Amino acid sequence: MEKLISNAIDLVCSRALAEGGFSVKSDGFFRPDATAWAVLALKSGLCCGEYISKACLRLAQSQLPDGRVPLSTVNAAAYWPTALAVLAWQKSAGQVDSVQRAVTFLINNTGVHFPKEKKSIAEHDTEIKGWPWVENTHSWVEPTSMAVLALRSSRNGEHPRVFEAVRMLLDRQLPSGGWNMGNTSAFDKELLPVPESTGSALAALNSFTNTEVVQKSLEYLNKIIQDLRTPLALAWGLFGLTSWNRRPENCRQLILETLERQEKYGPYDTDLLSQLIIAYYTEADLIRFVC
Amino acid sequence: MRDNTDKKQQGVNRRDFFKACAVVGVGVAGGLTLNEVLFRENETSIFIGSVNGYGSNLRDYIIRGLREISITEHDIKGKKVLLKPNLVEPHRGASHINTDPAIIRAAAESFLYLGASGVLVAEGAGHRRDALLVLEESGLADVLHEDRIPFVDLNTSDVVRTKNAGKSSKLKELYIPSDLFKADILVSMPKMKTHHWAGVTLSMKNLFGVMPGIVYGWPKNVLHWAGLQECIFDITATLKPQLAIVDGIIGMEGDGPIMGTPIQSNVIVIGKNLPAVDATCARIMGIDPKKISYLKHSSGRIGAIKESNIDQRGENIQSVRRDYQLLDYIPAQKEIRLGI
Repeated sequence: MEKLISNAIDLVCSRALAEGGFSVKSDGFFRPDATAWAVLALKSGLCCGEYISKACLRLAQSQLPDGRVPLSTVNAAAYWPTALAVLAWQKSAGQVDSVQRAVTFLINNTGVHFPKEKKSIAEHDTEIKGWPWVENTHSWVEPTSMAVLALRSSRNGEHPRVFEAVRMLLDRQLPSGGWNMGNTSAFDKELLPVPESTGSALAALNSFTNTEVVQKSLEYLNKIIQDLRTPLALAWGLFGLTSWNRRPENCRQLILETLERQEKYGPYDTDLLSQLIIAYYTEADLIRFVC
Repeated sequence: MRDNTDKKQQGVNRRDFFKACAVVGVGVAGGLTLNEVLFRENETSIFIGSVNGYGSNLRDYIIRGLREISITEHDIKGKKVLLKPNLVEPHRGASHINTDPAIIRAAAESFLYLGASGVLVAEGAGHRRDALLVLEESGLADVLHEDRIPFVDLNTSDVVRTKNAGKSSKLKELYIPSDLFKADILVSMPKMKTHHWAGVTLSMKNLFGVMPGIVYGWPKNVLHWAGLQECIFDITATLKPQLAIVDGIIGMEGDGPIMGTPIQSNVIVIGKNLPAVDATCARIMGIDPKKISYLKHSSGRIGAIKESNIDQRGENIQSVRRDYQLLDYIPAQKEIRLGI
């Protein structure tokens, strides 16, 4: 195994908590997002199985009765980790009920949507439903992409909410290509794309639309991917391109160079390390990897 | 995630002070010279430095500015300083969006020169999740690496729940990154910009970047739904930063905070009272601070915005005033121009 990858796996494992689950940094607290990503990473590397079942159980313990997996029980409104938990629980026999409750929660919840005003300063259709980061706020690109991936992974890819979310993502695609957090324009000015949002939308959309529809977005990502050496943007850029069979030939080299950059930036968060590990091992799209 | 809302704590340094404020929502006497002056409604000093560009000796300007507003080695010695720049959404080749790395470096050097035990830079970018790419695209990554200044991504840090001391928005509580507790002195370091929702974005609005994305989202939509102007006030009232250093060397006019155009103002503005700093910056931009909702609301509550209450040091406003372009199709920028 490549030393940088084995070091990354070791670092993730070193953040496993005695009670199960993972922290974002060394000596940190339990976080569901870090835990879900760590589970996915360790599954991809086919290692450290002893941590996986404990972590899945810890995630299930943090699930609320309505099915959501919040950032913390102190703040249940930030329910965006729910989709991540669904992905992490796939193939875990002990969490079938947790998956079902989380899926039901996702299907029954949405961001705040409203009719578009005539003089609206935003260009996108504010009525098409997706998912928010936080309860009682508008729907945005990345949580919607993650929810689509979660529902697809749990064999709910044909649900009307998924089709509507796909419509929402396509509506938020920038005319010049790519996605940002979810605003296409403000005051008639087209806004700029970012790699992490673009990658997440492309990863969610890969079986729902034609290449022509996302061609400009693929071109945007393909153009910048060789310059990316930061973990979040690179990993999501690779997830997006891989989903559309455009995985760069030097993909693993890009990942290793990005891992090397910890000398400059310091140790990466668990989420980021995990995403790089998954991108390193996964040559298929995220759904095939998870399922 | 920790919960500070039910604990009673007292203390004499910023970390304990902050915790105490978070618990009871009021100031704490003793121990913090800078905080003692922060929320006074009477006269406060603001320094305006005129500089020639980012190649100037910015460290000397900042040290002079700090001394002009009565900050000495005594206030800084042994303290840990957290610099909070504005890195809302960097894009390569668009340096007018963000606080320039040169002024962040100069501020770090200034505080270390004055005896700070350490300086760190922290930000929770409002529109971008990849904090490291934000650092790269803003040009700050190399500066921090060369100067060995640590960086904290406030979007993903563990958080602590505190009471909302401002009580103006719908939010009863605020979630604050626990990393803020590691600092004794919090310095807001915004870019001087117009803003299409708030009119202007300066040292108070810059504090949106302290609020963690994991709790408030990307964008920090919870704050928008709770009332943008009210949240700007609430966050300032709760965090009680000790200082602001504004990068007005190249600012942004028009459709800020991202899509506006660069404007050369060649000023640095420094002060302890954030509403007073922002009111001064607004006047430099040719904008009436009384017509900016959150500044008007701050007046007499957490600071001074009346010109007569601000002791202007360094340059006078008229000599550096440069009217920033305001767009008539942006509601927040309508009828906010300052009279001649």
